[in-house]
Amino acid sequence: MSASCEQGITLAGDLHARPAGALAVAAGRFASAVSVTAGEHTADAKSVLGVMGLGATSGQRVTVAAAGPDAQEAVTALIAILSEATRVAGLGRRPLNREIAWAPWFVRENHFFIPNGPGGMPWLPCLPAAVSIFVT
Amino acid sequence: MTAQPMSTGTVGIVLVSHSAELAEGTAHLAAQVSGGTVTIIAAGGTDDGDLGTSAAKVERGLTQAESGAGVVVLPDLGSAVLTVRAVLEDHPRPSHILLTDAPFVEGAVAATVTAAAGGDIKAVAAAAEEARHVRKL
Repeated sequence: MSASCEQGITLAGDLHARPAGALAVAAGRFASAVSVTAGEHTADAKSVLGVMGLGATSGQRVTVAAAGPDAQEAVTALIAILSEATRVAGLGRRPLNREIAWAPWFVRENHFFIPNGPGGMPWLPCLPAAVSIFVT
Repeated sequence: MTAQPMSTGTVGIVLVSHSAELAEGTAHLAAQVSGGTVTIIAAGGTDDGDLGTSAAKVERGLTQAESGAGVVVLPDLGSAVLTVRAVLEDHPRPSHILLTDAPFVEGAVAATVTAAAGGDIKAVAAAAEEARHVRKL
């Protein structure tokens, strides 16, 4: 069944080469079309250069969107990679002290970013395309 | 991009540069970004270590990078293309090799990531060539 799906996350680190590579390798394994949006720019998640070209930085909100037969699996997998890879990226940088000082408690204490659904809502399951159209 | 491999194994990458250091460094970078699952062979410099290209190194690289799914070759400058073409004239299976016209570093990274995702030889070559159009700023 074809579906569309979207989920946002606040980056724990800059979207440098290694996390961008991990994201693009994972995205390329899905049949769905997958995109990453940061601010006003959107890139094909399967293009490592496009993802790096977003210039997404620590603390920035990015959205992963997918459309296709495995859209939900793709978004879930890529959000997990963004959550993990930007946190441990060896080619990235550690957050600045001023960034940590302003971060919410759960970020400071656990160094963990909670993925949110669209518009900051809690995680929502993907819906089949027909249902999505009905709901929206 | 397709996610279906052409056959068993991932597409291999051969980086042909006039500089051994440039080929090695680019291979190292591409391996790091793609997670290290793709065979990337650096074929840089002449046989005696000077700046230039080596048909023998290219030929060895093509053999080492082949795992059944084909090999994508990235030359750094136009004269590396001459060396690769000379090698391909005598290659037993030239249809398994695609010589790409791509920016060296960006093309190597894009091609390797696509190969790591299971892309076939055409998808990997296309990823390298599309690197020309992706803006950094």
